Amino acid sequence: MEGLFLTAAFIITAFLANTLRFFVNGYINRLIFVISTVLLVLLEQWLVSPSHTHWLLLFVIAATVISFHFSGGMIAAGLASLYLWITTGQVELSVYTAYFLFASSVYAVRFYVRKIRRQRDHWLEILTINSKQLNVTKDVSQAMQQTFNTKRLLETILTSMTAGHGLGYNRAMIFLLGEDKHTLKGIMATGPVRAEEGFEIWENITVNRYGLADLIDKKEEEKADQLLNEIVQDMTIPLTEDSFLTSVMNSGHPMLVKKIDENDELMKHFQHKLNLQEFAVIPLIHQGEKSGVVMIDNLVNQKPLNMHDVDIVTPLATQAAIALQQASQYESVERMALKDGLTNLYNQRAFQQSLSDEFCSRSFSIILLDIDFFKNYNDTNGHMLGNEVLVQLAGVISNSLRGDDLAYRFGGEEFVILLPGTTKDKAYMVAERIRKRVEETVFPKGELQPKGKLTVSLGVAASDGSMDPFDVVELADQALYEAKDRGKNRVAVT
Amino acid sequence: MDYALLLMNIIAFTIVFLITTRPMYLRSLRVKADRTAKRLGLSLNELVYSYEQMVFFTALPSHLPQLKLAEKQDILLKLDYHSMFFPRLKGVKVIVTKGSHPFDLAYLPIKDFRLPALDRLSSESHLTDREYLTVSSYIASNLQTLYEIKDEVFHKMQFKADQMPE
Repeated sequence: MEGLFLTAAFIITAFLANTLRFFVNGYINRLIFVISTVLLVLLEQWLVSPSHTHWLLLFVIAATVISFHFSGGMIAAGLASLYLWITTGQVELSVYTAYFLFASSVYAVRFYVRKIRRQRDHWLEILTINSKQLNVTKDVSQAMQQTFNTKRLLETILTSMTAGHGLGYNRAMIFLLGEDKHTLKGIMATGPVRAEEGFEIWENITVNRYGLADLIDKKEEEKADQLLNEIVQDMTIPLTEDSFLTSVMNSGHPMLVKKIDENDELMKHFQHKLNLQEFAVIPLIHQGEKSGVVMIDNLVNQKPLNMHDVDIVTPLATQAAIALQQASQYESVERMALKDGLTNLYNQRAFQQSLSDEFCSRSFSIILLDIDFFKNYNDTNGHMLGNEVLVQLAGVISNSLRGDDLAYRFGGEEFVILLPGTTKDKAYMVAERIRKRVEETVFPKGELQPKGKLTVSLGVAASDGSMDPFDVVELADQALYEAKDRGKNRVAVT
Repeated sequence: MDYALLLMNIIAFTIVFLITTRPMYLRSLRVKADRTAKRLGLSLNELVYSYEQMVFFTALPSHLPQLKLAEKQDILLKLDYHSMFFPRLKGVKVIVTKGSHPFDLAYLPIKDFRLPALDRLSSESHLTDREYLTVSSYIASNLQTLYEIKDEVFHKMQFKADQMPE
């Protein structure tokens, strides 16, 4: 009966201890745990027999080591010895020694378990960081494979840096080296300008459970982050003056700024414009070429940054540098494929492509332009000067066009102009303006031409969108012949 | 016989202590989170949370048969604690139990389980880090949250029609 009563007392003690201890602070929580084991010793001693006290105290010592480490264990061993001496009145040195050895042993085991647990936590942390980095890098690589559109790539990279699915920084900005190599130009940014705005965005993302792809699409559709983008895109930073960005670009090493340097005017400017306090700057480097920098900060949650963050962002910055270079190369090749090398106008390939484009299904006009007596010009002045005339004429044509008009070098001394959404009358006015400007322009050796100056003839044709665009070209060509037949330096319309 | 009874009592004490530790800890989280929410005028049921910082250890959807064939009931969410005697929630583990060995698929560290409303209050100094952790630990350990996370993970594991090999 006593035994059952004691078992019930032990169970109730355990239950009560656990019920109470999580509502108090950590120290008292531990104290309750130790006190509950002390209670077991006293219950056993009072209700059954004091004969087990000397070894039941080991239980108290173990609980104390678990709760209060080595020092707690030593104190518990000392107090247990004292208690035993008081209650028994006998000095049992071997038992006291055993208490201290037991406390040390439990501490050794506890120390080992803690060490293993810390190692496990450390590995888990490394694993989560690396996995996150890998996942983001994978997303960016996929985006790189899907498009050569620089804007889309940069959006993907910046969103990957800022989205919770990605690296989770509050803001990211990209600055690229200008063509003169002496300035950094703000290109794109993601994030809020003020913390309050950031909380709203963050709440919206959380409520709607937006993923990385949703965020990128949303950014395109809603033109989000417009204010930050406007501020960043308005920034042109000279690298000829001393500043933190000059230092990063010169050294090629990332920089972690924990506090605004009052001696750095540019840093103070960033602080004023973007509320920047603590941030990291990572250079964009590919094959030793520095193409710009990425800046990250945590304006909203004020989470401190460290060099670990720099290490995390660096591979993405490298991806960005590669993507930018590839996109730039692609654009350059595309430009070369579609542009005339001499005049820098679009070439015939681009013209053919334009004719098959959707806009030809709506109304449009075409102007065909040919230089009068150009064979005579080349025979008299040579092809080199002839080329100069073509370049100069291309300039006159370009400067005479309206916003949506497109000029192409059709071949030799022939040019074609596509005027989307333009009626025949308006196209005639454009053609006449070009003719007049050419007539008024002084070309080298133009005075040696048959009429004392270099002139052009133009043919105009239009479509309401129902005609085959190539038939319209044919009509414009007929008009051009008519202009030539009627004495040149004039515009004819069909 | 005395020794056997005493040993049995100690074992009973230890078992009851260990078995009730985590439930009591979770219960205390609920009480403390309720208290904090009341002070701040928040409703715990309406708090919006984000588990987007959950880290996946393998790309999803995966071609691994263990993951590809797994059903929703094969996904096990396990609360990960610091210490056995003095538990504190450390994170949520996502384990796929399909196959002969459990597969550790993802992990959500509790420090990355964020609630925008609490972030805002924390930045305005209305909420201490400890209180934040108490509320976020309670929400993360809530059955409804765990169900949602399981749902999301299962959704991510599914191949969409256009991703299926022909």
